[in-house]
Amino acid sequence: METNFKKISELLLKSELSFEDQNNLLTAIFKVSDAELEPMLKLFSEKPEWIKTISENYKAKKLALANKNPEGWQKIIENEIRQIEISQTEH
Amino acid sequence: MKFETLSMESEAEFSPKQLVAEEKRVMGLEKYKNRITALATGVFLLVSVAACKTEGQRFDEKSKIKAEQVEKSITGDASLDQILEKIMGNKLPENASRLDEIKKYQGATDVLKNYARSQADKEKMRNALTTALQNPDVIKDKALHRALLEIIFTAHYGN
Repeated sequence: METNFKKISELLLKSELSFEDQNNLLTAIFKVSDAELEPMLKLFSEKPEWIKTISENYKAKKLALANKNPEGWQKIIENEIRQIEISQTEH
Repeated sequence: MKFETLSMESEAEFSPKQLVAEEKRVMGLEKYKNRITALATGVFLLVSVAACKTEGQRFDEKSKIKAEQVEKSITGDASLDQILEKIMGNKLPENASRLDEIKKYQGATDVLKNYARSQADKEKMRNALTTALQNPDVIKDKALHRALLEIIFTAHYGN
């Protein structure tokens, strides 16, 4: 049986992300359980344009954590909310 | 919008658990009911969890200790051979091509299942594979990267 991880990996490898970004996101999602990957698979299958958004978001969060930067994290969340609201108005 | 937990100044309070809990609260708002936005909020959260985990900041103190022990023995500077030896639990034959050796293990479900009997072993294997995925030799060589991914596809079961 194909796992969600495998299906997402194939989508990422076919995406327009750079190889480095593909690999970074693959490394991250490998840390999450397969059941939890279900919404990611649905989102990336239905709206592949979200792959880039999520990749950028992941890199920013990782950097904020590495620098122990709560203000940075807060800005990322505010940006996420904006992205979601823009997406909401498009539907 | 200001998050109460994030306005705290103490470094100790900048914990992954709190960050994710706060984000969950905000992202769980009723107004995000549209299917795509609901999926996106879920994925943003998931990415927070993944970012916390990849930064080595575990939610569970016990797993933190285990992870640190493993990460001490497999650092980011370890050679690919060392990483593979850790994954497979034995030395690679001399003069073996690393790619051939990896390919040999593709689909080696039984080896991986036997190796990862316990949750601690699964975590160990996951850490080793994650480290291998970030290894510069692997990143440089797409065939090697693909071969390693195939191992991960095999290993990624049961969580």
